[in-house]
Amino acid sequence: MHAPSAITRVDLPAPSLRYAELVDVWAVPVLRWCARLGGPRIDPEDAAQDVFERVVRRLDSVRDPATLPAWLFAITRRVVIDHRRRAWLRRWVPGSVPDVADPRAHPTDDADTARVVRDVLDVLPRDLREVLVLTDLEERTADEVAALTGLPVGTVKSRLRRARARFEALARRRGLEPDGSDDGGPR
Amino acid sequence: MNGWHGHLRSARRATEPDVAAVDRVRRHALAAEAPPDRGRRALPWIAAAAFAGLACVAGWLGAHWRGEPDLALSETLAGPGAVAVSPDVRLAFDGTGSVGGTPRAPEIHWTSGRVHVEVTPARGIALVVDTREARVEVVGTGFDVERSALGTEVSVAHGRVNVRCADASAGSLGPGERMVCLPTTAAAWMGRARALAAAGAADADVLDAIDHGLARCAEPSPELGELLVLRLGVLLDAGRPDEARATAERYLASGATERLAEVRAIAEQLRAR
Repeated sequence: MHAPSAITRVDLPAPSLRYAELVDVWAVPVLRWCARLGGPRIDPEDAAQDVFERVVRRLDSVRDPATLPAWLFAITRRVVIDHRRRAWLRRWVPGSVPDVADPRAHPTDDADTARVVRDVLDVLPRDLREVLVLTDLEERTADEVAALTGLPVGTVKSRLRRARARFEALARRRGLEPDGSDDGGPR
Repeated sequence: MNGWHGHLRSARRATEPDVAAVDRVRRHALAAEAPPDRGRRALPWIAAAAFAGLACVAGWLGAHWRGEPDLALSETLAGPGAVAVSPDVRLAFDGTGSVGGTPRAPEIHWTSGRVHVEVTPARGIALVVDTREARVEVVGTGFDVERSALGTEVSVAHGRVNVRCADASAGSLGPGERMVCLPTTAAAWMGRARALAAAGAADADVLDAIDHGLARCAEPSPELGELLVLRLGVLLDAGRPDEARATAERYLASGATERLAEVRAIAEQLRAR
């Protein structure tokens, strides 16, 4: 490696990434990720604001604009993990979290259903929650999820199978039954 | 996910950010923008990503490397990428580390992620890969070293490697065999405990990792407080209030301050039972 020209080193030209444009385009997706991956115990606005505070400090490190979505998702993932850790212990502090409806009661309307779904997503392991949210809530293909998360497509598909099975078992335990809908086939 | 689509749509609608929230996040984000740092220069570099490309490099190196086996090596690796240390030593990696030593005796210091190493047998190459948890010595083989929050895993594709863990355990691995060297520091054990918890491991396994970390903690230390908070949460989740109370009291006595208010409130609640 010390021989002349042994290893390729390439300095790429800096892409033109205007921060204001980035915020305009990505505020909504980042907020969605914070809400859907963070679960009901974190404040998605707080988390999204933390995401952009990190983005503005590190945007110069992005050499290729094509990597921006994956880079943003990685930052959002780390911020959500931090917020979830802080919220994890706070739930045991009396009065610090709102009462949660009895999970054994059968949901009766759309808001209750949404809450049960979010509670189930909240208890899934992080790697399963991510692929389930990105695929089944945000309707991305396995290739798109792989590009966003940096996982091989095969890994995305196998995690999605496990995530769906776990989701279904947990949802049924909470009194939620399938709604009979058809999503049109595998993605 | 057939049969559940309607429910998922409900959750999607419920988590769609409203216009006011988006506006607040945008305004906060734009207010956080700092002036551009004109003085900073990025120094990125990429390495060939495929062994096919490596074969060409290795061939070129073969023509230029003979007679320089003792040249000192010094290179930082950040992947994904692939490099040819010499015609007889090739690395493909997705992670971070560095290479030192010489082409005849390369030393790979691996920090995180996975590195795959191929060493041509019967060329007298004495290669070493070391992480904080493990030292792997090989002469002619193909193997993987992956360092993650769970420790360092060594798995052998072909040939044989000797592994020595930082905790003094050791093994000689052949094709298809693997070995995990566990963390050695309090912070690393905390990482292992968190990784196990995130993966849904049994409480006993998570608590075992936490207790290994606590056994290595200096008092006071940042890791001590975090490990005790983690232990408290696991015990509360497991419905073990007496042990949770003891852990909370230990936290309060430790001098840690990061989560003091929350732990104090939980301890009061547990005392009142």
